[in-house]
Amino acid sequence: MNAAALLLLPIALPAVAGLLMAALPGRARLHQGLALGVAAGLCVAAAALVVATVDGAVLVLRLGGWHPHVGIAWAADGLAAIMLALAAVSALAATLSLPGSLGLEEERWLRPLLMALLAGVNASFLTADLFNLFVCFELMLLASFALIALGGGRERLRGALPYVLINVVASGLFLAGVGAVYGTIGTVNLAELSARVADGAPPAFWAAMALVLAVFAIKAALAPVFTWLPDSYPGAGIAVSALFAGLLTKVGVYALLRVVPLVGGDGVIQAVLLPIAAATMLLGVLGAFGRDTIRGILSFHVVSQVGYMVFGLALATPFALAAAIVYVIHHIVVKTALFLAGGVFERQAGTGALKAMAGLAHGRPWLAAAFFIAAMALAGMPPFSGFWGKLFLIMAGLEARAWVATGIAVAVGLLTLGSMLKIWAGIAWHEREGEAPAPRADRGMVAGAMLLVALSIAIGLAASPLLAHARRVADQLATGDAYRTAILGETRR
Amino acid sequence: MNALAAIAVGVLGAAGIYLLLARSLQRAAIGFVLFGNAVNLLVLVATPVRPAARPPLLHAATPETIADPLPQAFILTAIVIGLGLTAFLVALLVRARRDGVEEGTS
Repeated sequence: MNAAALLLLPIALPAVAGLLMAALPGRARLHQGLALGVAAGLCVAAAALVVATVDGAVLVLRLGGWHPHVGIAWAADGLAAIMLALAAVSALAATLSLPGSLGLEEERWLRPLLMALLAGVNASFLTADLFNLFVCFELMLLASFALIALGGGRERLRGALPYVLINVVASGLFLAGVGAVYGTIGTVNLAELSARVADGAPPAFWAAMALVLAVFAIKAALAPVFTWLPDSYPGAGIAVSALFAGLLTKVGVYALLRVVPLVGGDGVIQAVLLPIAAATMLLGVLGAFGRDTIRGILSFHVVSQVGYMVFGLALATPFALAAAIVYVIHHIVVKTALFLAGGVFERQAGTGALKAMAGLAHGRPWLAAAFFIAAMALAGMPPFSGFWGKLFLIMAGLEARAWVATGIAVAVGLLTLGSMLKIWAGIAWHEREGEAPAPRADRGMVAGAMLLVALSIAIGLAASPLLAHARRVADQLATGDAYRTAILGETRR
Repeated sequence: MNALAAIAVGVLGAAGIYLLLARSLQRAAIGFVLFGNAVNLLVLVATPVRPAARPPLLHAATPETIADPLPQAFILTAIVIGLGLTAFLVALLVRARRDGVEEGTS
């Protein structure tokens, strides 16, 4: 009974709150209070789940009591709990940043949509059923379509179009893949799938699975299907793009982390993913050099950093998987912080162009320091969280003898540092002609950014226990036995 | 029958993708509807059908002869989701027209 309640909370809380908000439109302060309450509640629920799964337990909820073969099962293992916690923290920071972040007129539906998005994201993390994953992706996507276009005029709408079209096509392909998976192997429950694949699967199954993984790659913004991200994220409202950059692509990465070890495939999948990850890392950071707006550069960095995470997955050793998990944790926190802190400066300057931001750092020294810390964390400078993330990944790469990809990872790290310094120079080092525009009153956004940077510093200091936990989670992921036993109810081998 | 359905999937899918790539958002919306139908039909075709399958009614079938309800559940869900997405695309289209956004898509 206890386990059931914990698993329902991350979805029920935002869903109920969203419905309440939709029923009481137009009361912005009530909505904001509800949203903050939900975010705080999510943090507590996620923390409880992390504690419950820290020793390797897998909590399972069978919806309707049906056996997983015909029904839908939700399962929280270590990885799901970690992702829920990260989603909760990002949601809290983004919700704090909402007041005044977008045009007032659209604010009516902003928070209900945000609640729907959170419900979809949390459900994606918890589900153990491939078709349910499709449904949760759709919930998340539909909310994100509306959010990405919200609050702006023609420009924002135009920027939203490629995002919408790419994602609806990807959704169609996902459905086709899931249907084909069901047709070839007879189940869409991930645990059952994993058990059946171990006994041998027809070649058609691998084609279907390849389609499904390709869709995850599109959602995660891997090469060569990542161009939608830098085209659409910079145009959205600041808090919205911060949440998307930190969280939405990671849902795709999570799907890969969940499905690839369960499906196995004799290492072929990982072998294909390795050059893709290397290309993503490289193309992402090279693209960043071609942009001159703060969120444009940061969006390309999102692509590059996702390459790092998939690099860890593709190395196919448990340590590499643990390193990827540490990297995901570090990145969600730092990336959201960077978008929010950069967003404060962008609001002050009235535009995202770096040229217009010269000298703004002097007026806000604490925020600028926080931005600098987050930037150095992203670039991988010690003693910040990014250093540990990159170090573990490089160690894993050397251990797995993937020389080329590891070399690319190191080089991309240096290039990322250069790119972050370009932003920093734009904000802090260039001389400003004329007066700086007055700082806007956006305490919420500053608070959100500071909260995340503080968390990032804590992650950097606690790298060793974090790695230990990540190793436990990765071992659980890699073998999949605990997951299968918990969901199916008996050992299948 | 299956061959006919498979060809239908191909034709609908091709038409849908072709329209989705068009420069006009109006055509993209129609293309999405076609593509969605193609995928739904694909799920139906891809899942095995027992030749003498009985409907899942209480006294009409045994567990051995029952028609598989899962693919049909998948397709129904997908149709509803597709309806929502189509509604959104049309709303986006109306808004884009109203705001004078040029309808080029990448």
